[in-house]
Amino acid sequence: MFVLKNCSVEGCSSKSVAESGFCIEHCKDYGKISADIAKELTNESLFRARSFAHLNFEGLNFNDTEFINCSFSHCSFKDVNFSNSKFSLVFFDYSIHENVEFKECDFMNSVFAGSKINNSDFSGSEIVNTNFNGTEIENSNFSDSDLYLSRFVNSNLMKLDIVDCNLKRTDFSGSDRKQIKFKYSNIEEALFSKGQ
Amino acid sequence: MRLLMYYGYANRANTYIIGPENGGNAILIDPGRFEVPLLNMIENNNYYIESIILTHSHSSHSKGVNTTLKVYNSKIYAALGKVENIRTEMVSNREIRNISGFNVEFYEIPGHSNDCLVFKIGNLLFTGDIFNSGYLGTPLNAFAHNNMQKDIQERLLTLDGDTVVLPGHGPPSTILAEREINENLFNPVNISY
Repeated sequence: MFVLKNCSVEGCSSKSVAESGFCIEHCKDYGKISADIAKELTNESLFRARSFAHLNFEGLNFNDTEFINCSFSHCSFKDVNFSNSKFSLVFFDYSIHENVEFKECDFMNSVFAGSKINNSDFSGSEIVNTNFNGTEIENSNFSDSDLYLSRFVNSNLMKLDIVDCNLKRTDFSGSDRKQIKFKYSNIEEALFSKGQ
Repeated sequence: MRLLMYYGYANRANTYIIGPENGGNAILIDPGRFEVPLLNMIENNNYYIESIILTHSHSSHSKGVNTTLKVYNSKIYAALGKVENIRTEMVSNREIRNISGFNVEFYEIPGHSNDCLVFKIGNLLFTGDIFNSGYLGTPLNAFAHNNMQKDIQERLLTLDGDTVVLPGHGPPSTILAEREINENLFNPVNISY
């Protein structure tokens, strides 16, 4: 399992940037660490038990990659392509996604809680038992996906295409939903309030 | 340390395996059913189930213990002395035990049932039905709910925000996400008894 180390500067309780041992404030090589990890993510096809937390990624292609027990917590992604990738127990909590491609991906037991997702594409994906609680998702596409058991509790959803999806036990309780297209999806099997 | 997560379709609950990176003696957590895909997951990763920890004795979390014991000679840890008619090694509040090479810190948090255990291994918090992604577990009654919520606030939500929450039902989460998002912590009146 990934480990989110604390900053090694005495008295600092912030979390480390990736596996550097230093938080953003004390990390002197942030640019180099970012570039090295971006290169590694672009070239390798399997990552297990790694932390990439607190990094910013822009204009990169990480498609066809498998991630197991990894953390992208508090990361920022802009114009990044993860298409055809697999994620098992991967944490994207409190991350920011702008124009990110997750087309035809497999997500199992993963976490996006507290994230902001805009103009992103999750279409044609298996998104099973994945946590989107408290997310703000706007202008994004989940069509042709399996969202079995995933949760969007207390999330703000706006202008989303959730067309022709499996929504069996997908939980939207407490969510604020505006301009959501559920056409051809089995919304009768989704949960919109607790106790359903 | 390696974490594997298995979802049992029959009991709609999560079972977890914690073991060393390259196989060996492992801990099985909440075997609600011991199904062939779970056995394959254990065997394909070269694990031997030396220990079983039960978060509580409800059948969706413990029914698979008997079958597990037909395959592995495991020691069972729980808050009750007997679960599914099998003797267990009882653990108690604030106790730290070394189980299959891992330090496990136990918290007794009754509320969903009288024998609920929450435990922490490294930065992983196994919450059973006390606390899961977006909700609190269904309490036994209003009194149990108040006590459970107080315990959660004082003992669990004070943990490091990046602590990974691994519930009995539903997807994983983090302490920070639960602190900020958990529906029942903000709307306790919504809980149905």
